[in-house]
Amino acid sequence: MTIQRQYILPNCNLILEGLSTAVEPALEEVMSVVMNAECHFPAAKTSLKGGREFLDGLVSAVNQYGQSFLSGLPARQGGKDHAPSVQIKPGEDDSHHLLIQPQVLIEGNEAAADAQAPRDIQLTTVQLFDLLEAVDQLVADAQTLPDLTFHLQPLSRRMVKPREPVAQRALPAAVGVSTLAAAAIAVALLPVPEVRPPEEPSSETETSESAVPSESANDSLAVDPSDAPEPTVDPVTAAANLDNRPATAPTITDGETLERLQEQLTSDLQDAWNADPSFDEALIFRVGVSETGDILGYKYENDAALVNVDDTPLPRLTYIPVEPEAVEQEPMAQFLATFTPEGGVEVAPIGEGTANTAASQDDSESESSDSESAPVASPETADSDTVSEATSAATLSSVIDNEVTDGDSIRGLNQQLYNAIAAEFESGTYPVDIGYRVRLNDEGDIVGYEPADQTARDQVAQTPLPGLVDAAAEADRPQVDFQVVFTEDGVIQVNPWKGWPPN
Amino acid sequence: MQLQSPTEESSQPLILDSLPDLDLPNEVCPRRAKMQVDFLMLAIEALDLGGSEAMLITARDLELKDVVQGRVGLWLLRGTNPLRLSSQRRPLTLTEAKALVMIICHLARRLTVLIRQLLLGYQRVTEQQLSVDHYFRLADYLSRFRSHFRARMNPRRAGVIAYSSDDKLNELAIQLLTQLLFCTGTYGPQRLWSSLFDGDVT
Repeated sequence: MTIQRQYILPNCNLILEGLSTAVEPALEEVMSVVMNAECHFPAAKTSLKGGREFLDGLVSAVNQYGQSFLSGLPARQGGKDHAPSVQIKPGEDDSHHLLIQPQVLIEGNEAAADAQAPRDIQLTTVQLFDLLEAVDQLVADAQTLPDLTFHLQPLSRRMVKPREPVAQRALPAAVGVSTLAAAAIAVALLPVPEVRPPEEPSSETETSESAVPSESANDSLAVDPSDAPEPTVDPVTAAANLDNRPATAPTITDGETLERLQEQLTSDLQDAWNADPSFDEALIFRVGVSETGDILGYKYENDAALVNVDDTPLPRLTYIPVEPEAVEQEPMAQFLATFTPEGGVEVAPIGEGTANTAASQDDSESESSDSESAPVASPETADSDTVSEATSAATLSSVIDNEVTDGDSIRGLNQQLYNAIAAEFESGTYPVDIGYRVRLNDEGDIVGYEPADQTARDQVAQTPLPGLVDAAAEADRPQVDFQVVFTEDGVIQVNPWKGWPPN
Repeated sequence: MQLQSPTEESSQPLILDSLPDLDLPNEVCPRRAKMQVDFLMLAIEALDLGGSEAMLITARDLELKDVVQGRVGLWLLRGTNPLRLSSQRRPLTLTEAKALVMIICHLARRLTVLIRQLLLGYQRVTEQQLSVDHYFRLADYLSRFRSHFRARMNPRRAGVIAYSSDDKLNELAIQLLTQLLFCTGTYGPQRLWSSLFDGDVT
């Protein structure tokens, strides 16, 4: 008995004719052998007919192309001796070419004169999707060819071919290089020693602090850390690795690599740190990381960091080079790693981090306690990493030295701030109204914010504010404060802190 | 303490079992996956004015509330997109990504008719070599997508600078629209899931 199955979609009809080979009556309805598979495209007035080989080719081609289409990463073709029986290739604009080798087709009267060239059917994206969906429905149908399956799995790294010409791929990198070069110049202009208190001895004379001759670094590799209180790589050597790099040493500039390294460093530090901190002040380190994610060196950025370095996993994780000269030439990226007394680790790229330090320096003239009590914002919420950006911005100086006074600018900034908040958070509900003082510079960048009360402090992670603070905002531009209230019923109110200016 | 995803200990919601576990280093999503998921959601919001509300309702209907915890939870997950202004710098776990994939595909399926209309309209205007403004609904979708994108992405990131012109953003919006169409299919969730990791597995 012949069984017919149809999968009808607007732009593609797939019709199968086959037999059941089952003897048990229960399975008689299951088509297990296909005699004819017809694929009809009404819009193109074309139909294709073939056997099992055609069907198998169709399933695998559609499957592969569908996935590449979704990821935007074309699979590498070739490596095989002969072309697959069915192939789909991208065409111009919005089109796709379905190519079928004539051997697998059962041709009708119009049998191609040129039997060698593959049949080429041009499909639009919607038509292609209908073909894919028809195939998917067939595969999902347990009553038809139960042995017909496909295996969806991600393409491996080497199966993906680069999708753009080199010049095009290099463009974002080039943009990255130039921005990073600009950032590097900015960083170079900020003298690091000045960030530290003046009584701090320079790194070369630090030996007395850690009292470990740098040669011991190499021996202590095999020493159990519990027996040896000395770090594997002492702070002096580690700092030297960072500071003695020749000016020509390459820096990692690719944004994607930096992002990856940042993630990797964060998780490395978190994994290696059995967080039972004995310090009560955040430890900040500058950490240099090679392209492979090895920590090449680190340097303390505050006093607490120097004193408590042994409590952190940094000395253990630092890579001990076989040939120090080679390391000097290795590309490196630098990050600011912060260990909080709550047991969290935060890693920020050095560019933004430096800007942060500069910003808090600026603020500290009126609130000098700010930089010492770094964990001011951290204990408020359990998810300290989500508000990490807020740490430096949670307190604002009460007086603005250089204030925006122009009425039109204030009105403009007010609107800009409202838009920025509204775009990130359309509505939401809070237990009570919560208010914040938010400081903008005259370019509209959010410099910082301050919760009005404890409730607002507790709820800060529920607002878009931590994410909106622009770490790179220029702190020396004219600034102005606004009052932002998230009301109980989800309305955002933004008003100038000192009231609306007269028209 | 470090924020732990509540799903790591407990078993994941049943609906997510239809997406296979993958052998990835660290069990977290690669960068491209985090961007793609958020962009597809941005496209859904541009298609459907109540899109962000619908995502929350879908999360509830699919019993994914433990993974996607309310509006803020969803916002935090989407904030893992490194190009966002409010990028969260936290990893997106595979369970979280699976939940977002299910939500995207569920909503895409509901929007099938609109998606097909817009794509057919787009095909028509390109065939006639007209600008997209000739098809009002498409122009509407594109302008909404552009404004969503510009309001939420960080214009200082190289990845965003690449989309600084209207044309580039329109191109991205159309690409996402076609990708959403592919999400509507029978194996949409599986296909999307596996495509997220193309080139990132060994």
